[in-house]
Amino acid sequence: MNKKKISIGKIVLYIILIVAAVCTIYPFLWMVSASFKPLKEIVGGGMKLISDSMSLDNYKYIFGRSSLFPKWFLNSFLVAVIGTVVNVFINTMAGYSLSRLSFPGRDKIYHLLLALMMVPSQVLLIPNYLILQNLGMLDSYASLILPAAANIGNIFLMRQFFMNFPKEVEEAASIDGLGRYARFFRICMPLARPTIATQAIFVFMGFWNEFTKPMLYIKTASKYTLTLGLQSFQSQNAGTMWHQVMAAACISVLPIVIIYLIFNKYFLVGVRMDGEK
Amino acid sequence: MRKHFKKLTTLSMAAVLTLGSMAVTVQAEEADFAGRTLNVGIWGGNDQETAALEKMKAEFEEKTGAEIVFKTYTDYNTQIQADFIAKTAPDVFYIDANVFPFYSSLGVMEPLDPEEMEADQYYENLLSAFTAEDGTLYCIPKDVSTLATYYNKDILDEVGVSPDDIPTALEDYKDFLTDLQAKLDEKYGEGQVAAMTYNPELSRQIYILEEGGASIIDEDGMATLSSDGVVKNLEFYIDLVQTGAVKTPADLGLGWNGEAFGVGKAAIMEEGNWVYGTLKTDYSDVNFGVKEMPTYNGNQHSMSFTVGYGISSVTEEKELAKEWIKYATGEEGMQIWSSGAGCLPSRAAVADTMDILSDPVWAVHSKMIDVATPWQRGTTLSIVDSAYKNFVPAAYKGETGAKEAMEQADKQANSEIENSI
Amino acid sequence: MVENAKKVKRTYSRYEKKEHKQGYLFLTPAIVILSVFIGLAVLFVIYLSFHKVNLFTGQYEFVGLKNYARVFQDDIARIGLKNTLMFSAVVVPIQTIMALIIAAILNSKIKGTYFFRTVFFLPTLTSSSALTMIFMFMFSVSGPINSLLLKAQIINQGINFLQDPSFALKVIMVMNIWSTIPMYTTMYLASLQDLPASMYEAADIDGAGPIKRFWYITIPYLKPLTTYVLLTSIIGTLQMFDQAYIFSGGSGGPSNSTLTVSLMVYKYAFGTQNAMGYAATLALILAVIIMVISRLAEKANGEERIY
Repeated sequence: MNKKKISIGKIVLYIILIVAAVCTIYPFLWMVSASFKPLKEIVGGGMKLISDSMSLDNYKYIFGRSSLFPKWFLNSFLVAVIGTVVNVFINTMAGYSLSRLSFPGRDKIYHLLLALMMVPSQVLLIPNYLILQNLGMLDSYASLILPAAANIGNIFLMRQFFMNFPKEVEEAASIDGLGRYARFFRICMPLARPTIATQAIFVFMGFWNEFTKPMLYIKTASKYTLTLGLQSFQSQNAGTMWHQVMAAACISVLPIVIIYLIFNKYFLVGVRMDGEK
Repeated sequence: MRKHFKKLTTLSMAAVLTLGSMAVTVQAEEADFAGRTLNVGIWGGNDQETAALEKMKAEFEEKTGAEIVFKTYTDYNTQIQADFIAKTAPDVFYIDANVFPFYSSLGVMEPLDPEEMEADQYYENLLSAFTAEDGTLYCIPKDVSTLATYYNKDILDEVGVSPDDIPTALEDYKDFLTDLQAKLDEKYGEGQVAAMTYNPELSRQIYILEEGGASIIDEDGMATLSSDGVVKNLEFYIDLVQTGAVKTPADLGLGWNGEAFGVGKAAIMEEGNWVYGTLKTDYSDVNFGVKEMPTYNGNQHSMSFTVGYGISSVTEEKELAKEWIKYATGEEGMQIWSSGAGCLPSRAAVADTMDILSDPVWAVHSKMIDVATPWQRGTTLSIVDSAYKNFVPAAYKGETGAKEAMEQADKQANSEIENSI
Repeated sequence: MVENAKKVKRTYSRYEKKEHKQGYLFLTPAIVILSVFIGLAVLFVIYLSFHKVNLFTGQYEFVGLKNYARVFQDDIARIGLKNTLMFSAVVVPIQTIMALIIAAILNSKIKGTYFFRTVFFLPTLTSSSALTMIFMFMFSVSGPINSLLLKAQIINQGINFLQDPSFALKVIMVMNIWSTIPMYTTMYLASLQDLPASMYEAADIDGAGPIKRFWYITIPYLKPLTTYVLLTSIIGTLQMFDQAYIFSGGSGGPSNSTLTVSLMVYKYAFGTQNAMGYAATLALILAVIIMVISRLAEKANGEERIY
């Protein structure tokens, strides 16, 4: 009796999941499909995913448009990888400190950091630009990495994670004679892998998709990131060239999909930590 | 920092003085510019525009020995404001006429000498769009675009309407479009194809709203959208829209007129000549014709949109920048630009050499230049336009009266204007 | 082991002092970066809010609290704030609850979780301009949503969702919910990886069903993360800008129905009116409002356990 009830529940669950999945995946597929279509087909073609007029023309156009393309790709990749590595360490350390170490002023610092997140970014654009100018960092990769080398949201995320982290694990390592730094880097960070992986993918995506910063700070075409380079193709005159926009979006999304699939292992497997030694 | 800047100004002042005193010889001594670099701020264009710019760059570099570096703006307004504030702007840059009053009021641009720049060669209404209130000229128009009426020959043909039936007076549009819409509904199904599309924006409607001496902005820059003349004109257009035969592209689920027209969801549209290139490349199967804008109240109107080159007031390459403007907006450069990029030359002489009238589409657009209202109306225009866009849809849908909607728009615009004074 | 620092003056043991030092050391890199690149900018914004500024010419005129006084007389700011609060009040709870439920389902022992997880992650990868275009198309008068409603005879005339003041903001809400749930789901899932299996096993022995387990184990366990989700979601929605900007072409229309505070901030900061001082003031007042609401949400979500 009980068993049957569960299986009906499961069927309902699957139906919900499948409906939700279709709603979720459809726009993504539409974007991919549009990247192969001519403009007219996208604008007038409605919701169809497959059509006869699909071709590689949009991609050929984009890759043929600038010889700087590989360079932009490399720039984006370097900035995103360096930025992500730096972020993971800085944010995790800060999150750890704010949740598991006790020192005077800790909660004040935590709330002050949160408060900084609350000022809308539109009003910070010009002040940030002037700060970077005074530091002599305009038109450099540093201007893309350094200001984003720490992320309050992710510090916050790591703080919340370490709150759930069983203290017994650390205590055991402490008894084994490991100092604070060794415990952090050798025990806590590895055990935090699922959350760090989550953080890493979002930080990476943040760098990879960042548009405003490179747009304002980078002046030289050879230093463009991929998003900026792709955007610079856009004509400002006659409406959106959807076919090119979609192809550009697909090109820039591909590396993230690959990275996601690599990291997915961590999301999925994770490390089951039980409190006991 | 400030000291450094002062030094720069003195230096460039000195340069101006020396160069000024030998103004006659400067042009002859082109080798002067060899090895110098000029940064030119532009925004992205289509392939043809990019190719035209590259060609101009190559020719200019050969002529002067200087190097041209293009800086492409992707979000012009945000980027150039940051550039002006930090004094990192390119030496010479594009300025759209509609934001010209704001930037010229900030003192970020170098005044230009009308005589030296051959100002009398350009269409007068374009030049006035780049002249500040005190009469100083700051930019030279590099091109111009105008609105004209586009119609889809095949669609009209299908329902047995001849392009000649399209009235020449806006007053006759109501009957004509209502009739056309009925025929379209019968042929293609209810609401599938709109007889005409329109844009509820000031940049497309200012000439209608201001017909008969009405004005949307007073001398102090305050919004006067709810003044009687403007409301009367708006009511006329609302009456037209409420026939259901005139729709916005958004009503049809599309981004702009060009898309609606290109995919055959609109039989008639009023668009700028930038759509000509799109229709040729992306919607090549659309069989279209172009005619003049309708008259309203007996007067022929259109809108014109122009972009000019301005020189940064802190540039160290003022002479080279002027040289670039003279070249790019001169007969030689403008011909490369206009024929390549697909826009109208801002010099009448170039239009003649290019034999623009031989192309029926260009001929119509060109004819509209003189009757067109340039899209420029002082520093408060963007605020007034935004308030108009905000409140006019309710009036078009008949939810509020025209007067009421415009009063709301005025109230909002003027409070925004006051907040920033 | 570690106690919360008591407010009384006390001497710290050597061990405690060492921990203080470690705490500061771990924080230093983050603090340095954030104070230079955000802290300074915020200070500058605070300074601007007391001035009438022309950044282009470098003219600053001290006006005291004039900008602040103006905000409270500004009817438009009130409308913007009302829309923003409404947006947040609808989006935040739906977002959080849906993300929590989907994560719990995906974490259960059903088949195909790998597939579903990947699928549910995709919206975060879809370009925002593509999303906006798809949504605008779907909700247009001749679009699929309308034709569905027409066929089901729920309505008898197409609704102009995008141009109708009573619908425009709701469309943006749907879009926002749709596109942010996956991010929070992914975070919940990562956190659920760490949930000690023994907790569920104990519950199984007690004979608790899936719903009971969700309610008594999963939700309490995820509480710290829920605080995170709530706060970031509150901050994100109260700062909503992009979608409103794209939908209304920057005007906040139709009839101010999509006007948000951030949109106003942008209009004043980058408009053609030199109103940076007023933009700064609006931004700061928004920040204070966000702070108050976040604090309330934090309280409502309950006390956290800190080791």
